[in-house]
Amino acid sequence: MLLFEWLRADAQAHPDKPAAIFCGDSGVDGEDRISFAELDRHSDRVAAFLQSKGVGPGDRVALLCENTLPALCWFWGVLKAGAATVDVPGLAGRDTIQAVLDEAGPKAICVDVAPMKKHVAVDGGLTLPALVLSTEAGAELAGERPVTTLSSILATDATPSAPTTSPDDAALIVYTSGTTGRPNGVMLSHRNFSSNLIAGNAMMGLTDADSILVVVPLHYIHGRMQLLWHAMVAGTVVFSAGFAFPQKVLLELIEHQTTGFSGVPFHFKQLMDRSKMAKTPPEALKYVLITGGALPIDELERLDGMLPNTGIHIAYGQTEASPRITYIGPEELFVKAQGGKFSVGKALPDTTLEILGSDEQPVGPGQIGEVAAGGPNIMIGYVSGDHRELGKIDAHGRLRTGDLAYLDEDGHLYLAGRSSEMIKSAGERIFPQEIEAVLAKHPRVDEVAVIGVKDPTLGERIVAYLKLTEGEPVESSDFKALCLESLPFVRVPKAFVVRDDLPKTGSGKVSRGKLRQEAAENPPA
Amino acid sequence: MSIEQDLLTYITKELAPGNTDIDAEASLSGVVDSTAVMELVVWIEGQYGFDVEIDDITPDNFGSVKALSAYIEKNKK
Repeated sequence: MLLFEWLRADAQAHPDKPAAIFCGDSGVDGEDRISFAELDRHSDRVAAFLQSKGVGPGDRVALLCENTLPALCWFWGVLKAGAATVDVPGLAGRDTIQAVLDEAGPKAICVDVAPMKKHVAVDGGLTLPALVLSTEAGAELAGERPVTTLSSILATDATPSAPTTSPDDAALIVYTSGTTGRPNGVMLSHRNFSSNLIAGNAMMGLTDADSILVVVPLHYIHGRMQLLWHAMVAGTVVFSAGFAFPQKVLLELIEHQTTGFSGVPFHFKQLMDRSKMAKTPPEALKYVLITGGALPIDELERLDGMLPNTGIHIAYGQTEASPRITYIGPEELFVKAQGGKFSVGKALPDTTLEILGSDEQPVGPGQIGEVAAGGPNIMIGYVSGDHRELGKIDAHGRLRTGDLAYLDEDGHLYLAGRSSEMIKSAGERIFPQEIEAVLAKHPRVDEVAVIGVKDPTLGERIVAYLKLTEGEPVESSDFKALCLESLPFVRVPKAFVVRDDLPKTGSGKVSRGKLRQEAAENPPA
Repeated sequence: MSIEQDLLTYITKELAPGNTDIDAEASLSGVVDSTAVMELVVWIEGQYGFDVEIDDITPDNFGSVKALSAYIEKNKK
């Protein structure tokens, strides 16, 4: 099956039901919602327009969008035209966005107003493909550049022809940070996604009575998963106005009576510490799904206490696995906790899970090794084509996660660390290389190393260690400003520590490991 | 220095160095994400000697430097 068939079925079965509701000002002309029938009709017109411009199977269309109503019309329209979407990480710096566009080579791009203002309508703005789609407000910002507006597309009554797309063709390309410091374009097929959603829902059993509050950007796999999952079950997706104000997020959960909420540990920590969730728990909330890392067990217990009528579910996965690999529900979560650690669950029904030792052979229960996963959910590959050279897909076709873990006798997975250098801060997965590359551009920086230091709120706090060349002292705000040119705030180091010398490995490279050890013993201010 | 000036100095030094578009009226959405709001709250509490209540951390109060300085003016000790 192809993913857009879900939207078609929803429009047939529940034409007037809201497909999406927007809490902020992200609708069109003051509309705060769109029904399944309307979204189906709007996206049909987008698809017909794209096809009339020669966009179809095998082509890519980039989305430089936020969580808005037009972004949904573009997303479904691209899929219905038979092409693949490219989710451009809008929070990234302009150089990164340009690199993504250059690599993916989209035939067209759909741009929301805010990124149009930030990245296109400025000196040195992005170089875009010839075909640019936006709203009226976006077009006004684009200056001389020809832009086709959504309203002009919706004014037609064209219908698209059925594309010759196969379920194994790429449907979505999602960019993630990579160990090389460059983002990796993860190509996921219709089958990758549908198999993972069907397997996941076999565990969680969502129906058309369910709805969810989305706080993560749609261009993350976590956002796409929530959107497509609810299209699969004909549930409503409510888009939060944003997570900067946790108390407001709680009020959104209460007002819209959503049955579900999915977030990373940072979101739950914020809701527990910076909203009145304990006093006024959202009563319709049936489940929360925690992904993207572990809350300490005492925090999980605190969450459980605050939400007595809500089940806590945990999933573990990676973008490259569309994204879920394992799952555990509330019945087992606390039962399976061992020595202060909880399990992230068992492999999904059609997923294989192996723990590989240093000799590349599977190890027995209780022994720590690298998590390797297989199944119909594992990506087609990276856009760059080097997923095998990078060792992300091995000779047996398995996804190598880079995560260290062990299994118990029943096949429950317990995470035990990471074999890679990834930092997790405020729910973001960050590789030190991308930040180091930015800081290395500073004329006074001689050597640089970036590490994550344990932090009770952020999970990890990003700290940069610098060795400078001879000269006047440099203000921290100088380094911060340089980082902010290329990185979103959440990826900017919280501390810059200048040292006369940085510790080295045997081969003479700066040792992040030694810095981490020092920081653990003597945390930097 | 006025609260507005203090805030502008802090934001353009610590939260958005290099951003020259910020003035008292400019929207702070896009400048303050959820981690920046946390830093801003801690700074306000330290600088003006009052606890910022959960109910007060809203887009209305934190939407612009002007709105934020009005909120601080009302609550500072």
